[in-house]
Amino acid sequence: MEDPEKYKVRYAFAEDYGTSMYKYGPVREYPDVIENRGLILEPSLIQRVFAKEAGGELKGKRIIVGEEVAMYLGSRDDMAKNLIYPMRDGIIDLRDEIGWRIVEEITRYGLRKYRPKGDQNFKGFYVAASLSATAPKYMYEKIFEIHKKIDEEEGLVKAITIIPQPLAVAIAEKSVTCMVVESGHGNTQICPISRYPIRDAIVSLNRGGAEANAITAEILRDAGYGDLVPEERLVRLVKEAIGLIPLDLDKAIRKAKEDKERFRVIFRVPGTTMVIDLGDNSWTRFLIGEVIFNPGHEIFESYYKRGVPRPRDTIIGEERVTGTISLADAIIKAAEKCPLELHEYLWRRVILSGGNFAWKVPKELRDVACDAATKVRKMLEDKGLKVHVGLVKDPQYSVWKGALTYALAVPENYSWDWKLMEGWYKWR
Amino acid sequence: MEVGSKAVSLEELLKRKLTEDWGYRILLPEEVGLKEELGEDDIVLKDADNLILVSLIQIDLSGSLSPKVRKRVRGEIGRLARLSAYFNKAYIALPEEVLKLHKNKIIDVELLREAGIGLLSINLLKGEVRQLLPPKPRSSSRAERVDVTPLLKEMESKIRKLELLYDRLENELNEIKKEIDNLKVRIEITNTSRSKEEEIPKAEEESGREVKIEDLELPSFMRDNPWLEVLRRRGRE
Ligand SMILES: Nc1ncnc2c1ncn2[C@@H]1O[C@H](COP(=O)(O)OP(=O)(O)O)[C@@H](O)[C@H]1O
Repeated sequence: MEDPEKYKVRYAFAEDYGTSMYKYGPVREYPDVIENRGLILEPSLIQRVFAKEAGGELKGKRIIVGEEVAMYLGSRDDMAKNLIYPMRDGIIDLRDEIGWRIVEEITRYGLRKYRPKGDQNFKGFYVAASLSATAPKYMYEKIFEIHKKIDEEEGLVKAITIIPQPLAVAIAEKSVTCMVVESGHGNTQICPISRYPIRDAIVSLNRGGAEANAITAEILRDAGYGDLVPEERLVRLVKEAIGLIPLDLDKAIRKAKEDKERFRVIFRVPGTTMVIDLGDNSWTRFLIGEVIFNPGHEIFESYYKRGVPRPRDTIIGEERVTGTISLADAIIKAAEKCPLELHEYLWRRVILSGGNFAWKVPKELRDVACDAATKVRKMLEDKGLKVHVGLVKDPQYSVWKGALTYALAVPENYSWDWKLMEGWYKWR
Repeated sequence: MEVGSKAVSLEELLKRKLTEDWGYRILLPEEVGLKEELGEDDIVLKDADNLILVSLIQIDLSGSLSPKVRKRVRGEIGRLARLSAYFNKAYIALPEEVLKLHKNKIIDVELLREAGIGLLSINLLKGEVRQLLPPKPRSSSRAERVDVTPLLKEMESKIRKLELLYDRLENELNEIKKEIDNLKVRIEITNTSRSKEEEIPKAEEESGREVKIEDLELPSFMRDNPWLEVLRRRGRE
């Protein structure tokens, strides 16, 4: 029999349940990625009639995940409303039956894809799953339950552990003491780490890339492209292509209004002949980036009034944190909840991760636009702090990388400990 | 004017006159998006913003004038009348000999007038092309639109196909790159763990259940990672 520790190294598997993307895969350099979503297919009338005639009972709703979803979406527009992203804010309600079924199908999809073929030694993966740092205990239980079920049905999981996303980032970045800021599509988690995540100091915000999408949609509407707005993917593409993070919003807007041609951008909608040109409104490109860092800037008020959703407040312990708090203030808040002697070390390493920090800077606009790390450094410096801020190498994959490393390193014979929230959960 | 050699055809003469003397530019039927609709004897020309269609009717002179020929000419006028929507001006061109001999029998001038189609005669011997009946020019708005739309459409669809192809190739290339990276890692893992099993089984047993994962060829983010040590002590502290 192979040494269990060695077996675990060979069959480690990591899963990152992001708010919009699910990243998964065994030991390798990069994960596979599918959208963290499922399509609910109601049985058609014909299927129902056939089921009755066959004397059988009708199987309930069907759930489609992975690449196949796109095929159904193309064929019927009204399908879009049956398309569900269960982890939108990083949290799924305990009673959200459909949400959990989608998670189950997505998980099954990922594990099945990597079942080793014709391998007699394979007895299931050692899975490290990554969840939001604020995921409540019942989510841990649900994830365990789902993996156990999949294992009972298909023999794919030998054991599972769960790791908070910010801890995974710190591991991927090889930093044992640091401040992790992880921002995905639906949420942002700020988490100080010193060997363990400092749970009491976690600040979580109900905002992420989706907020920039909402501003982009409004800008498109203003520029006369309102008909494109219902297409979420397209709005996201436009956002990523034209959005800019201003080093200083007011200055950037002034410059952009003085020299309109320089900031003008023309976006060609892929696969069509459509062209989006913001023309004289090109200065609004800076709003798309700014909203990630400072949605409380007065300039956004008019957008909230017009129906762009204002980020919801979060409750942390006894405290209410306003949804529009600036990212710098939120980071400082997290630091302040840590022991004083730790601060120095945390400021030495502020790590930004998540797709929502992956903004590009066009070379010719470097004097006014910057990347996410520079922006956060400047915001913290404006508050009188000397910090080092860095962006991870692959913002979208660092959680997955850290989770995989975790699976390889945590000893195989360490059983899950509910107090410390670590170890391997097993059932066989 | 000298006619070079007898080998010059009606069509060549007509084209030469229209371009050299009248200053028109010859277009390909494809250029106006009417490839399907136009035949071999149709000449498409451009004069500034105007599109002009000339249909050359070649009739064998030696034959007598059969009802068949008459029918053909009538048909031709009908066709031109339909097509004329796409053009600013349309002409029928006939050899002068034919016109002299049978003009009124084969051509209904009133019909031509009504349809707004002009008439050209070609004299191969003298090397002359004359306008016997001027066409009725059409306003260009409609013609212009029709002029480019089909062409644009065709180009758009071609570009779209290329874009799709490009996207697909780029995706496939990225997938292949990823797959190669991943394969490298897997090969290393299998090799290393196998050779470890074969070579130093004793040392392994002695050091208990420790597996030095740092020794394996692992993905880059695991190499020299201080967390490996920190995490390995979990549950034992
Ligand atoms: N180059 C980019 N510029 C700006 N935003 C980006 C870029 N790449 C990805 N994003 C945004 O990052 C978000 C997804 O990040 P990700 O970390 O994958 O989220 P999650 O893990 O929550 O699914 C989306 O809002 C997406 O639009």
